[in-house]
Amino acid sequence: MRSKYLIEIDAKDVYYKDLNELIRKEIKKGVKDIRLLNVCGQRYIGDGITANNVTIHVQGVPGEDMAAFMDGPKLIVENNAQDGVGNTMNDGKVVVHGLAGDVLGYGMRGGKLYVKGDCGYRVGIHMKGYMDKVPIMVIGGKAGNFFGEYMAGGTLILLGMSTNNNDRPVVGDYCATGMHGGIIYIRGIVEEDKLGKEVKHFELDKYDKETLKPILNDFCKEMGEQFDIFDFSQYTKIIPVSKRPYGRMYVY
Amino acid sequence: MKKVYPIEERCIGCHLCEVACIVEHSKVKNPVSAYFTEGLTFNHEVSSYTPEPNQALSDNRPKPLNRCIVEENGALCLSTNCRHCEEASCILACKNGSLYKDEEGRVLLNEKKCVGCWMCLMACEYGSINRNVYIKNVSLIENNAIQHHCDLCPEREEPACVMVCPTKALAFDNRK
Amino acid sequence: MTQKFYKEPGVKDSLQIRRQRQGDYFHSHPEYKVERDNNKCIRCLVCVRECPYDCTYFDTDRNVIYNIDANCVNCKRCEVMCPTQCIEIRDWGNKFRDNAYWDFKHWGSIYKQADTGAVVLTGLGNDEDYKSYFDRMVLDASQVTNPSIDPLREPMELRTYIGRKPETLTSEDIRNSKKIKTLFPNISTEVPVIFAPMSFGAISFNFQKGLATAAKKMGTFFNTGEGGLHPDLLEFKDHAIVQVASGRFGVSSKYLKNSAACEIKIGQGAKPGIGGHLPGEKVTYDISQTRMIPEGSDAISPAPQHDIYSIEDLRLLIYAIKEAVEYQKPVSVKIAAVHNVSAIASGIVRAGADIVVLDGFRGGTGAAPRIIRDHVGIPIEVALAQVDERLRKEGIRNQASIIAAGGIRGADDIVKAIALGADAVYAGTSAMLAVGCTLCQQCHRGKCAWGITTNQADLRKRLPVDIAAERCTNLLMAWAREIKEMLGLMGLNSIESLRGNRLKLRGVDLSEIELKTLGIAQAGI
Repeated sequence: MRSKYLIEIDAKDVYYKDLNELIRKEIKKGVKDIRLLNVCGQRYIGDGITANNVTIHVQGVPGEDMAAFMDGPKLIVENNAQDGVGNTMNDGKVVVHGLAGDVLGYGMRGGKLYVKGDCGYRVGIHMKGYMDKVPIMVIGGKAGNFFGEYMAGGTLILLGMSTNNNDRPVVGDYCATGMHGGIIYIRGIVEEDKLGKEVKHFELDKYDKETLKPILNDFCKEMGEQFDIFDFSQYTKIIPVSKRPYGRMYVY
Repeated sequence: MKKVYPIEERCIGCHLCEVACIVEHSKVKNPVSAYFTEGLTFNHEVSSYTPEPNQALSDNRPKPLNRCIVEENGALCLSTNCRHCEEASCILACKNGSLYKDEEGRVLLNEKKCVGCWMCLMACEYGSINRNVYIKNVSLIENNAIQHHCDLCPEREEPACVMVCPTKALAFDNRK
Repeated sequence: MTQKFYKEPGVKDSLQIRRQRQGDYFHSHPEYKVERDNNKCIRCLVCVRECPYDCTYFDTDRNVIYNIDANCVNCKRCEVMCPTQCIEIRDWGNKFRDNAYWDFKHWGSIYKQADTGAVVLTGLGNDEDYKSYFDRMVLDASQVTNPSIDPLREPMELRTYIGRKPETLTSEDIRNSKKIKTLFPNISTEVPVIFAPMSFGAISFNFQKGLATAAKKMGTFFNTGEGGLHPDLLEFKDHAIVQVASGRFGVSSKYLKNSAACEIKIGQGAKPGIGGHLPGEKVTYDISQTRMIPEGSDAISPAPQHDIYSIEDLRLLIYAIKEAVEYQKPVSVKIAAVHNVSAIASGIVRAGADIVVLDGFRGGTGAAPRIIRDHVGIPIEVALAQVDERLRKEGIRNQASIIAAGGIRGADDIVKAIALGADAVYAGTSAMLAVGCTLCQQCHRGKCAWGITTNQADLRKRLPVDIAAERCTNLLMAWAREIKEMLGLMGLNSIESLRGNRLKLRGVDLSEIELKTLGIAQAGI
């Protein structure tokens, strides 16, 4: 059924600049549902878009920096995504039904970012919460090094299930280095030597379970699959032990 | 009539207005000489150093006092002084009519008449009138009488406190 | 003003000068001595109230004001505010036996480090005695054959367009000026001086608003620094250059759109290669609002932007920002002047930057380790000359404007910088001086006695917005006049004719290689 709120754009051989201009124009017109067909590496889809109740379906593989500076829309990628998804995102939702690259959710301040599969290095760096904004990122697969580095707020969840790298540990080295706020939940065991010295790992308490449950339910709903991830005894919680990791480093 | 209005958000609590006021109301009008010859003293609570009032009196050196006072509470501070009210309760309270209004509307004090009953001080809603604690015996006093409040520096175009304020936290304005 | 300034420290505390205490210095060597002429002191206690560094006390019993000299930083606040001018701050002098090699900076630091095991922080810019090339360049003047111009009588053009310029203009364009498609967004400034990036947090809100007001009045720009744009400054958005740094504080698509231009901060001249760190206790309600982080949490922006590891990555971010602002605003990239800066700048221009900001090693900072501030980076003069030359040689100079920053002290430096190839300059320390800074280098302590680099409620009142705005406006006005005079004497009537015009410069007391690096001739030739 076609309506004026729904539009299909064939992105085949369209330059990213033109494609994004088209998307912005359609959103300004009041289109609420955009389907991008044959996307092949076009960058910056959803970049800087301030709009609520807008859904963008991406069929194909989008390019880098998708949803950067985004404020409000929902982006659904039916394939893999590349690097820099959700860079400094303010609000909105990104659902990736495949793998994703490096530097996801850099400086993310709000919204949700779900990835079904693995992700690369430097994921969730500088994530920060502010007032009522709590960024939430759920990675279904495994993560590389520097996971949650310098994290200052929000919730970062790593499930380690739908992965292509069975021999790899659930998270790489230097996890949560310099972290001074927010919470990381990792489903699996994280060795002490992988963590930054600013953080400690704990078992989940009642409060954690209550926060995790709705997030995981939402994740399953968005992915359209019921995953077996609700055994909270498998999880490890990582939180900073000091709000001031670099407090005593300087003298006047 | 032009009055001195304090602006709270600009006041930095340096108390320079007090210094200017006190110097302006001294005889020599020079801070250093006023301090050493007239015994200039500030009535901020800081100073527990109080020379004997009798000494000051016997020398016939009534001490000048500052007529504006900087009130402080943490970062909040402002310089308070006489509001020269239209219906001044201090004038009503004055029992021998030594407080009066001049033609411009300033509340002034006839220093020779004042007996130092301090009723004006109790009547003032703004706490702008201060006692000169160094003076007890009225007969010896000619200037700088018992009761102190802002006289808007009659000898100047702009009161001394307004002129000296480094952040322009005092405005000499004609407001309704 | 909450401090009990008038209370004499207890006997124990008053002996602290000679006492060894944890976190205190083993040798407490005062740098300065506060001399108070007791024949002139009237005990008004203005100095006691004004000192934020716990240096001045009033002894109520003896009726004297005295100083703990070790705490004095020579900010000169008491000296200036004293109504009788009875205070004089002197160098302590009697330090160690004269030693040209072991200077106070070094042995003083060693004592502090031995006490605490920490990095010695400082503020402001590099104060070491490096050669200043600005001071060794002189300007040309017109005589007889090419008459000079009187700026009082004839119009002088100082307006500068900053941003990417088109490759070519066709003759059709020129005939009909309406047809010219600039193609690229430019920002236009009436004075070739832009206020340098100083974030709210590093400087007080009042000062930033003062800068914004002055920028609006003079038709130029101020730079938010990496700390975000305060909601109250939204009215100045058309005169704001907003910065995106590694911490991404306050960065959102709204922030990028509420601007004249966006700037990606890669490095800072005062501390190339290291990041910034605003301690949690300085993140007050106001700052948390601007930076969009919770109150009291550390604001850490590490050295690299972790999504930029190459020129290609930089291009990604540049275009991500351009997409976010719908190609309506120029994007600038700020780097510190370091070795090989010309190659880096070339890469930045090719990555799509419309403006390249070069920050020399004299540039200021809110806080940096002293060793880095004093020993890392290169002078802006040589960096500027090299970058301009390189971009010209590669034929891409039109693709980006160059802004020179880091130690611009006056109209003379501005004119020389523009003659070396800059489009405009950033002025930070000069703007601070304009509002009362005394270069005491205590910016990192957040207790600035002049209300400039502090957000303590009582101290920041010391610099009211309108006074800051007026003084900064005056500074720009004076500079504009001086620049016009300088242009006039060179026989130029437009700042455009000066840009990259190195024929107007001559070197004095410079070696051959230095002259070659700067691309100028020896004086007399």
